[in-house]
Amino acid sequence: MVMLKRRSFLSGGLAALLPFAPLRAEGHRRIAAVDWAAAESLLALGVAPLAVADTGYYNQRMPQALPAQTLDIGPFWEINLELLDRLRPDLVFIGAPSLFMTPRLREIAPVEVVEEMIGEGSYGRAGTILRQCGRAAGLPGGTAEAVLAGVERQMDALAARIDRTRPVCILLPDQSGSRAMVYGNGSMPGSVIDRLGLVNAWKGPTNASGFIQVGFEALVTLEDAIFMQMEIPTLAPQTERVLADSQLWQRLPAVRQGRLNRLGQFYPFGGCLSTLHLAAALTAAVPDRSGEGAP
Amino acid sequence: MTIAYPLAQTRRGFRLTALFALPAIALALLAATQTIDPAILFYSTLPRIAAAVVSGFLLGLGGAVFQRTFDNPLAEPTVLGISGGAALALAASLVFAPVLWSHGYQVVALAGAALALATTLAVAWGPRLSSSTLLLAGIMLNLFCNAAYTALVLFNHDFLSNLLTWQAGSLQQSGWGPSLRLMVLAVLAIGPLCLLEKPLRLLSLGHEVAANLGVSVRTIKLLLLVIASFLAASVTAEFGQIGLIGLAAPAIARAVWGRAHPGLLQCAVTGAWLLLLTDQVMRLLSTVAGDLPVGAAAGLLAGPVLILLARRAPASAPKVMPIPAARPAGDTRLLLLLAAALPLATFVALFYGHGPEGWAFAGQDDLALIWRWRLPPLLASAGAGVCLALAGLLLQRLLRNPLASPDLLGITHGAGLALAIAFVILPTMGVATKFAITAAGAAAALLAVTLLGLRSRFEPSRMLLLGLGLANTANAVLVIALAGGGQRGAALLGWFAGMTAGVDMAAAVAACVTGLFCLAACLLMHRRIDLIALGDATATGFGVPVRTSRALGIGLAALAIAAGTMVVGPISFIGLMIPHIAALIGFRGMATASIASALIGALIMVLAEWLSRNLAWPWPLSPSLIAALVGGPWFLWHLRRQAKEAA
Amino acid sequence: MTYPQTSSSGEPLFRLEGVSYSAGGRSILPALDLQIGAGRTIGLIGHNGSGKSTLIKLLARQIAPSTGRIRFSGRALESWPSREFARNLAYMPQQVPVAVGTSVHELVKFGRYPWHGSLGSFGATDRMKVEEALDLTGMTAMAGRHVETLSGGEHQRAWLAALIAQDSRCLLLDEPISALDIAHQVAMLDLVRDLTKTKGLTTIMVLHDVNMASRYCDEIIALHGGTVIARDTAPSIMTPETLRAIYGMDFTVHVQAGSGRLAALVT
Repeated sequence: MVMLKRRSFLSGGLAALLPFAPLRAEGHRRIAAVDWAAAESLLALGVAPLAVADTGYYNQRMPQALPAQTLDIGPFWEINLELLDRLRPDLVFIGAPSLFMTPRLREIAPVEVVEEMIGEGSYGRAGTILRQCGRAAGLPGGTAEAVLAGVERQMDALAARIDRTRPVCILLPDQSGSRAMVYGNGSMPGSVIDRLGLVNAWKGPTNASGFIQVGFEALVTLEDAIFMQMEIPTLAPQTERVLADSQLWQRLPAVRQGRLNRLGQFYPFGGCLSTLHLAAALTAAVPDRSGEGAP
Repeated sequence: MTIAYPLAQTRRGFRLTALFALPAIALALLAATQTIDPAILFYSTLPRIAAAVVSGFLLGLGGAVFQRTFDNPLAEPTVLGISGGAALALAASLVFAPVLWSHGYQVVALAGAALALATTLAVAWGPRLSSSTLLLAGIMLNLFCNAAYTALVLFNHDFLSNLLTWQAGSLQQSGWGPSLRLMVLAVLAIGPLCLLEKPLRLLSLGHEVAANLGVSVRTIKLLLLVIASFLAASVTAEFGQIGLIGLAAPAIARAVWGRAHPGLLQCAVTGAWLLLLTDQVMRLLSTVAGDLPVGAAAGLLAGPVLILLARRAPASAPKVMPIPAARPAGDTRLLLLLAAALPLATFVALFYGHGPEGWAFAGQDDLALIWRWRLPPLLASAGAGVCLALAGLLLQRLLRNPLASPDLLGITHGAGLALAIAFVILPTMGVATKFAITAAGAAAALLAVTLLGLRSRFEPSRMLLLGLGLANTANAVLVIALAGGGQRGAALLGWFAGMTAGVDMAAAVAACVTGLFCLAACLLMHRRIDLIALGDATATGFGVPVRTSRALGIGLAALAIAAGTMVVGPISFIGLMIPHIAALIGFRGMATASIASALIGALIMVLAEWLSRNLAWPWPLSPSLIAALVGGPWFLWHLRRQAKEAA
Repeated sequence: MTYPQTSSSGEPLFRLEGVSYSAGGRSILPALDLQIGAGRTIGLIGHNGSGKSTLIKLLARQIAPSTGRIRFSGRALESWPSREFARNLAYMPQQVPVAVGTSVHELVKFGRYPWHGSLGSFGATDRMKVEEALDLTGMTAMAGRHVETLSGGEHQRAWLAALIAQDSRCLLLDEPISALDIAHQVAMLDLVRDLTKTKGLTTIMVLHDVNMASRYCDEIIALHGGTVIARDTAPSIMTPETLRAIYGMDFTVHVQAGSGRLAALVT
C-alpha cells in the first residue's frame, strides 16, 4: 500500500510544469475565482488570482497552494459580496450553481461561467477551462497550449508506467463502515482512469455528478479489481478503525487478497493540475513492475 | 374514563397489522433470496433486516411513550434534545478531540444525547416536571445543538461531510454488531416498560388522579422519559437520525387499532414493520439512485400516510392553549422600548462592521457599498423576522399547540424542494431566478396545504398531522434529489442553513411589506383568535366563525412563511420560539403578542444578521444559527426561572 | 329589556322536527319532535346517557343533527349568522375550559364579542354590561384574579358572568351546578331564575338533581333513552310513578312544611 504525499508529488512532476517560479501579479487583469478548477488553471498559467473562495481549505486540499497575496472571499455557496466589490475585480470565474445562488455577482464584475467537470467529457473540459482562463487573463494563446501540451506529455508518461492488468475502483468509505462512495465513468476520476488506459471496475449507475454511494455488498462483484481507497488525513484513524470492525469489508475479495491501496485526497472537480495529480497518484499506487511499456 | 374495547376492534387491528406487515416481510424475503453471495447474505442483508425491525420496534416504543406522556401528537423520542445532542457531540469531538472516537462513535453520540437530556431535565426540574416546560426546553436545545452542529460542519465542510450522511440516517449494515447490541437493548427494555404501562395510563388521567392512586408522578415520568430517550438515543447513535418513525408509528397504530391510546407493544410492532417496509423500499430504489438515507427518506412513505391519516383523525378534545401568566405583565413601555431598539440596532448593523482592516465604522466612501450590500440583507432579515414570528404565533394560537412552528406546514420544505429539483434538473439556471423558483415551490406547497386542509376542515389535530406529512414528504424528495444531484447540491448547503447574501432590494422590501400586512391582519383578527384559543366550542358559543377564521389565519401564516423563506431560507428558531419569548416577557393577548412578536422577531433577526456577517468575516455564519446560539441559552434560563416560580 | 313570550308570528322559540343524532354507530337520540316556548325556565332531566347533553348541544348548534330540522325563532338553525346567533343564544358547556392566564374581567369581556365583533370598539354599553354581569354574580371583587386561581364555584360563576354579559335572550346551561356546593348551587340557580324573570329570558338547564329542577324550573322535560317520556310542570313530574319511569328507582315525595315545595327522596 503506497501512500502518496502531496509534497513528493510536487517535487516530482508538477514543478516541472510550472512556467515561472514567481507568479506574475502585475500587468494582469484582476481575476477572482469562485470555482476551484478555474483557480487551479490560473495558477497553472502562472497567474495569481486576486481572490479565491475558501482559500484555507483550498490550500489543504489542492495539489498546489495559492500564493500568499490571494485573498479569501468566503465559501463558494455564499461569497462575501461586499468584500468582492471592494476589491474591484475585472472578472469573476464561477460555476453555474454558485452563480444561481448569488446572482447579484453580476453587479460587481463581468462573470464567466465555468463548465461543470462532470459527465463524459470531463477530462476534455479541464483543457477547455484552461484555455478559457488563458483568454480571460489576456495571455497569448500559445501559453495555454504549451501548458496543455506539457500536461499531455506527463499523462502519456504516466500511462506508460502504469500496470493495466486489473480494473481499478476508486472509492471513499465513510464513517459508518458500511458504505463507500465510488466514482464511475461520468466523473473526473473516471475520465482520468480512462485516459490512463485503465478499466473502471465500477459499471453500475451513478448520479448526475458521476459518483454514487453504495453499500459494501455492491462491491462484492468487483472480484478482480484493485481498490484505491481515498484517504482524508484528518479522518484516517476513525475510518481505519471502523473498517477493521466491519466484517463485510474484510471479506470483500479485493481486501481479502490484499489489493487495497491508499490514495491521497484529490479534488474530483478540479482542472488540469488535479487530473495530473490524481494520475500520478494512481500510477504510483500500481506501477508496472513487469517493465512492459507502451499503451 | 375507561371504554370497553370490543373484540372485533382488536381482531381488526391484528388483521390490518398483518396486512401491512406482509409486503414488508415479502420484500425482506425477496432481498434474502436474491442474494447469491453467502457473505453478503450473512453480513449485509440479514443484519439490515434485523436492524430495521429492531430499530423500528424501539422507535415505535419510544414514540408511544412520549406521545402519551406529553399528550401531544408532535412529541417524538428525540424531542427532548437527544438528536441535537448526539449530532453535536459527534461533530465537536471530531473537530476538537478525535481521540474520543477511539472507543467507537456510538459512545460519543450516546454521551452527547445523555448530556442533552440531563440539561432538559435540569431546566424543567421541579415537583411536577411540567410537560410543557420539558417540551419547550427540549426543542430549544435541539435547535441550539443543530445550529452549533451546522456551524461546525460548514466551517469544516469536507472534514465532516460524512457526518451529514450519518445525520440523514442509514440502516446499511456490514456486520451484526449494531443489530445485536440493539436487540439486547430491546429485550432488556420490554420488561420495565410493560411494568410502567399501567402507571403511564394513569398519568393520562391527570396528575391529581394519578397521585391519588399512589403513582409518584414525577418519578414515573422521569423513568419513562429516561428509558424511552435511551432507546431512541441508542438507535440514533448507531444509525443516525431516523426521525419520522417515532411520530408516525403511534399515529398509524391509532388508526389501525381504532383507539386513542394503543398499547406500547402495538406501537412498537407498528414501528417495526413500518421501518422494515421503508428500508426495503429504499433498498430497491438504491439500485438506481445510490444508497438513500432511510432516515430522511422515510418521509417518502410515512409522509403520505400521515396526510391520509389526517383526514380520518378524530377531532381533538377541547384543549385550551396554555399561555402562562407572566409576572409582571408586559406593558406598553416594554413595547416602546423594543420599537426604539429596532432602528438603533439597524443603524449599528449598517454602519459598524468588519472590513478588510478589522472592525470599523463605515466612512463616507463606504455609503454606496452599504446601500448595495448591507441594507438589503438587513431589511430582508427584519422583514423575514416579522413574517416568521407572526406565522409561528398564528399557528400556535390557531392550532392550539405550543410546538407548532412555520416549518410544520411544509412550505419551507416545498421551497427547498423546488430549489433542489431546479438544481438537479435544469442544466443552466438562466431560465429562472432563485427567487422565482423558491416562490413557485412555496406557492405549490401553500396550495397543497390549503386544498388538503379544506378537506380536513382545518381542524387543529388534523392540520398538525397534515403539515407533518407534507413537510416530511417534501423533505424526503429533497434528500433524494440532493443525493442524486451530486456536486450541485453542495451549493444549496448555505441556503438550508439560512442565507441572506445577494438578496436584492426589491425582495427585501417585499418581505417587509408582507410582514407589515401580516401584522395588520393579526391586529384586525385579534379578538377572534383570543376566543379561538379558548376552544372551538366556546368560541362558537360566543359567535366566532371558527372555521373561516382558522382558514384565514393559516392562509395568512402560509403567505408569511413563503415570504420569509424566499428571502432568507428556512429558519426554524424564529417562528417556534419568538411567540414563547413574547409570552415569557408578559404579552399574552393576541394584539400585544402580535406586536411584541413582530418587534422581537425583527430585532433578533437584525442582530443575528449583523453578527453573522461580521463574526467570522469574511465567512458568513447563518442568521438562524446566531439566533439559536444566542437566543437558546437565554430562553432556557428564562424557562428555568419560570419553572422555579411555578413550583 | 324584556322579550316577548313568543316571536311575533306565535312560533315557539325552538321547534324540532324529526331530529335524531347518532355517533360512533350508536343512536343517541332517535327521531325527536319537540317545541319549546319562550320566556320560561326549563329543566332537562334524565338518567345518564339519556341524551340530555346531546339535546342541549343540538339546540346550541354545537353539533349538527343526523336527520331532521331545528328552527330557532322561526328560522332554520343553520341559517343564523354566527354573531347574530350568539347575540340571541348563550351556551355553557358541561366542562367549562380553564383559560389559564386570563383574568375574570377579561373572561367576562369575551362575552361581549357577539356585539362588537372583530373590528368594533369596546364602547360604553359594553363596559356597562360587563360591570353589571360582574355585579350580579358577585365577582366584582375578584375581577382582577386569574381564572386558574379560582375555586370551582367561583370559576363557574365567572363563566356565568360572561354569559350574562353576552346579553342573549336564551340561556342553555349544561349541568351548571354539578361542581358546586349546596350554598353555591342555590345562589347560582337563584341568580339564573332572577335573570330569567327580570329580563324575560328563556333558560334551558340540564340538571341532575330533580329537587333542584322542581324548585327552579317552570317546566321539566324528562328524557329516557333519547325520547321524551315526560314533560310537565314540576308538581306533575314529582310523583313516584313518574320518577320511577324516569330514573328507574323508587322515590317518596314529601312536602316541605312552610314553603310547600316538593322534595323527592330515594327509598
